[in-house]
Amino acid sequence: MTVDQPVVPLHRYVEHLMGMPISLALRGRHVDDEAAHDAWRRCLDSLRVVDATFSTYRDDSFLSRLNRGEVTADDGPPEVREVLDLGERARLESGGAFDVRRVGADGTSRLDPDGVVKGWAVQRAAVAFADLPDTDYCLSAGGDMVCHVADDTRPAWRIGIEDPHDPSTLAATVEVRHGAVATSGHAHRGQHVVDARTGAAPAAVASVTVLADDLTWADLDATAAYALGPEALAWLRGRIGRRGLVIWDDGRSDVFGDPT
Amino acid sequence: MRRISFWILSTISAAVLLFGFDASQRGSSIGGSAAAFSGGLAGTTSTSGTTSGNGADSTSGSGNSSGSSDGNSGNNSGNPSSPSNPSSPSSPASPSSQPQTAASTVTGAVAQTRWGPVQIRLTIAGGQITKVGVLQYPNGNSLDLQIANYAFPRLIQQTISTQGAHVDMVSGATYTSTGYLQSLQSALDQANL
Repeated sequence: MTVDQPVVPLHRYVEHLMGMPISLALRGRHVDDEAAHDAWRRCLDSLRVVDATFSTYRDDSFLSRLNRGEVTADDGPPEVREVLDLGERARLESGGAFDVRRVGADGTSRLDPDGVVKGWAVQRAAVAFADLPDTDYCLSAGGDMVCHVADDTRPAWRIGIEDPHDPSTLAATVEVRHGAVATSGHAHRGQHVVDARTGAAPAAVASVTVLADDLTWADLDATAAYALGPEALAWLRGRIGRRGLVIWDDGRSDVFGDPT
Repeated sequence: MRRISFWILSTISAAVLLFGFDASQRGSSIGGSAAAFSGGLAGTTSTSGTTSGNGADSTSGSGNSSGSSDGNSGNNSGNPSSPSNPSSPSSPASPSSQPQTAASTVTGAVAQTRWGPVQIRLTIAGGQITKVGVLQYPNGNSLDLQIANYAFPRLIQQTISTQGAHVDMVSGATYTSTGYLQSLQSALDQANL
């Protein structure tokens, strides 16, 4: 078994949703047939429903209505409570650095669960491909992805991790058979994550990449660690079942994770 | 920083060991090459706290093959399963080195880890490691599968050049649809590679 070169043909799909590119790669039995196309449609439909519920950019989303006080969380679909509960868990486990609640200058607060929704939504949407027998998938939304290899004789997915100091190059690669990869940083959108404890942009850290069994927690941990700034690495080392890479503003980098 | 330094040093020492192994392959022992794997490429023994987290693959462990059942593998059956291992646990270094012109490859012996067999192949050109291939790694029982689900990130400057790195997908700070146009992922999608 080799994992240094792909030996299996793959087929790619790209669609833009929620302002992000959704990239899919399929290998194995169903890559470009009706079953594959149907799974891709179901995946995108799942993401569209999430967007209609949670988008902070759409005035008609449930979340926008919630922020305007027109409804309460319990008026919405059960997924609203699920997402808010995940956000609360991430807040507690990050010592408050991660928070879906944003407090404005005037003291009013509103919910911005984008930091929870993306990874959670993509993890759910990937279920569409689990129905494809003998088919490997790698589903990425704006650089965060869920990977699965159905057949042990095929190579792992090989994921490049961008260098935040020069996003046209890679800083590292990692092989994933079943699991998720998420990276948080400021390379593409500028500084958009804040340390919720202070409201300030995190210092010292350029990007955090987290590997975990599912993308919900890979993404939450990458974002929370990034928000923690200088404390990112120490915090990540205390997380069970995570591996990854922290790249600092000064160019240093640290691989972390439990070797077992 | 110290961890990374250690990792670089151990990688270099692994390369040195493997080069040495290349030059004297007939005389090398399974123990020697297994040490090279566990020191540089295959992570570290889990009993050493100072080096945790710096291995390249999820193959930490010593070259010890039999019946390990220490505290870190409590739910393991004790025997590393090796369904895909075509050779016996004590197979000697298997080696396919070519002349030093152009690129050559060095295939390490099958190292028996607590979780099963691991075998690494290095491609070397111009005195540098240009490719690291994992020919075998543990699979079989559920613990092995869990271990092999994902590896450690492998820093590129220490193993292969960016240009030589084949990847299927790119993880980076979230990019928007506009930013995507300039991204590596966009290039991959367009090339359909």
